[in-house]
Amino acid sequence: MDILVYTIANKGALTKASAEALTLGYQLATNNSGTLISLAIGDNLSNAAAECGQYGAQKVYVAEHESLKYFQLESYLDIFDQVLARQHPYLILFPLEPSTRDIAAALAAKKNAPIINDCIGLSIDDSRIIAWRAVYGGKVHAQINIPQLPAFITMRANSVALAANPVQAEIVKIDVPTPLAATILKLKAINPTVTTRPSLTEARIIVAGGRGIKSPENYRLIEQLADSLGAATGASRSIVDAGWVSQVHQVGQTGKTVAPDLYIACGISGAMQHLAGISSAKCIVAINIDAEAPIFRVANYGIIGDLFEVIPALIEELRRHA
Amino acid sequence: MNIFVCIKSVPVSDAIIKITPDCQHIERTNLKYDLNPYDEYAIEAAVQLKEQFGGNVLAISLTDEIASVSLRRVLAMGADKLIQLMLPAVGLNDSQAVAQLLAQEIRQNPFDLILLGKQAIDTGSEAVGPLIARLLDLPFITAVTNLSVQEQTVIATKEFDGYQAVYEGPLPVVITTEKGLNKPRYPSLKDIMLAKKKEIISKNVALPQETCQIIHLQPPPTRPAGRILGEGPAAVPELVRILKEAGTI
Ligand SMILES: Cc1cc2nc3c(=O)[nH]c(=O)nc-3n(C[C@H](O)[C@H](O)[C@H](O)COP(=O)(O)OP(=O)(O)OC[C@H]3O[C@@H](n4cnc5c(N)ncnc54)[C@H](O)[C@@H]3O)c2cc1C
Ligand SMILES: Nc1ncnc2c1ncn2[C@@H]1O[C@H](COP(=O)(O)O)[C@@H](O)[C@H]1O
Repeated sequence: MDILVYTIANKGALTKASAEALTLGYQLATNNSGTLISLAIGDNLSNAAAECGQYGAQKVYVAEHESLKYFQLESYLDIFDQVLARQHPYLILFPLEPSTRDIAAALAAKKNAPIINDCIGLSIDDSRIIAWRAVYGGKVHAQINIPQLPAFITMRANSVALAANPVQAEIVKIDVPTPLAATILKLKAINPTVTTRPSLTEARIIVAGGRGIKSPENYRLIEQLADSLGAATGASRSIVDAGWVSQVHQVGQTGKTVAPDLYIACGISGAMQHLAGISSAKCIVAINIDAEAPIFRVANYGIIGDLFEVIPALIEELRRHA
Repeated sequence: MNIFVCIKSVPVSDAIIKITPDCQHIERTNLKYDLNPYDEYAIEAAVQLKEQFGGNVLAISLTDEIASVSLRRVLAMGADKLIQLMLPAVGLNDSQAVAQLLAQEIRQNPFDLILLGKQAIDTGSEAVGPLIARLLDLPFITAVTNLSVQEQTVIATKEFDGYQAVYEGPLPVVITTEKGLNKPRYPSLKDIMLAKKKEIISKNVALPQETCQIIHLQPPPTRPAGRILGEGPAAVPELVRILKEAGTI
């Protein structure tokens, strides 16, 4: 029983979430006498393709072309179809991100197959496939039985412990028709969003600010702390809605769900809707002036104090230890 | 322009959720429901397009007796009609089954555009929109943060890691809406009064065969009790020491 993992490269390197999906796929495949196959679509993929072998992929399909640099559903699906015509995986795993949600659903629709997004766990017991998801904003965990195969599953980043399983990988290049077949939806424009920081959903460390920063200029403090940790920057909804920072930074029920190793919440009260986005963070640190703030009930470590004093002290302490 | 908006009534975002003793369901007595927050962006977008081009906004929901009460707000927000497909109980149903029921009903009506929320905050599954699109053989764009229609052409923006993509295509299409697309309106008293005269159609339906089933619900693992390290900057060295020692930083 083979497993196909779709992988993503960022600036030429395999994303961490992709490596996690491969790690999981390898474990499930080898425990069930199958092989792990991977697929990457995009441009500048040769390094990432080689990395797939490090995580146990025996066959690495690569569809590489300049014209595939940006996500276009129909073109990507054409390539998927080519691979699925040659391989018959019973599980197709994806690292969850904006493009994979679309691909997974489109493929599942065609086969009326199970589609399960944002899984936090996946196992096979007595050939029964069981997935775990967080529902009701993380207040409940649901165990899902998948009786029907193939199944299309996207995995939440940071929910699998990475493990290298080097194998000799066979790289299979897929012919990319040029120009790509005409599609109904056209990619009209691409606007790069420049940031030097890691993306929120992939970041190992996130520093987030809330209403406690008092005014938009002070978000700089959050960014400075983030930079001293190589972290991504997050925000509560109130400062996003106030227009202090862009929506892409919002963490929570109506923002991003994150699962970093470390989440530092500064001047965030810890409303249920904010907590919905961080319940799978491994370690939460809260800096808040109010000892009664609900964030302290979920924080592993808390500092009661004024963030305008604590954050600079923290940056300084980190510099001293660097 | 005829626009369909798929809406779901879900437990409010700050509801306390209790699991039933059989670990199969949640306790629904005294649970408050409201429109799914992402669906409000879809409704607002539909009503704005109607204001621009004329036409009809049809809201459709797969719902049940308890949940359906809060759906009526969609009529006050400007939808013309509400279609309620009634199940004995709605909740964390399989996305495929939900999409099939909605698509079956939608396909019997003329439409130019179908709008949905990006995600229902109860299921969190983010799948129903694309599935409906594929069942109806239509292109789709998910999680859009900007949307306009010009002469039968839709232009929509979606955020990716590191870039924003703008897609363009002819109607009809399926769009799911992300927060930030617009500011959902608060209906005025007059809107609420007018809404009382609008039509609500209810039909009983049965869920088709599900492709996967929830077999067990449980609370998430409890977080280990936290520690307050102290007050103000004096507590900082201890924090850094702990995080270093754990290899977190
Ligand atoms: C449907 C719905 C969806 C929502 N989705 C989200 C979501 O996705 N994400 C989200 O975050 N929220 C969401 N919310 C909003 C949520 O309910 C809260 O309103 C919001 O999280 C509060 O943001 P905050 O903690 O920044 O602000 P506040 O609650 O105002 O908290 C500010 C905190 O800063 C502290 N503070 C003040 N000054 C200082 C100082 N000098 N130093 C240190 N601390 C200080 C205060 O003690 C306080 O605890 C949603 C709400 C609804 C209804
Ligand atoms: N039962 C339902 N009735 C109507 N629309 C729904 C239903 N479930 C989901 N939707 C729509 O599909 C979107 C995505 O839901 P989901 O795929 O469950 O996250 C929601 O925001 C709604 O617009």
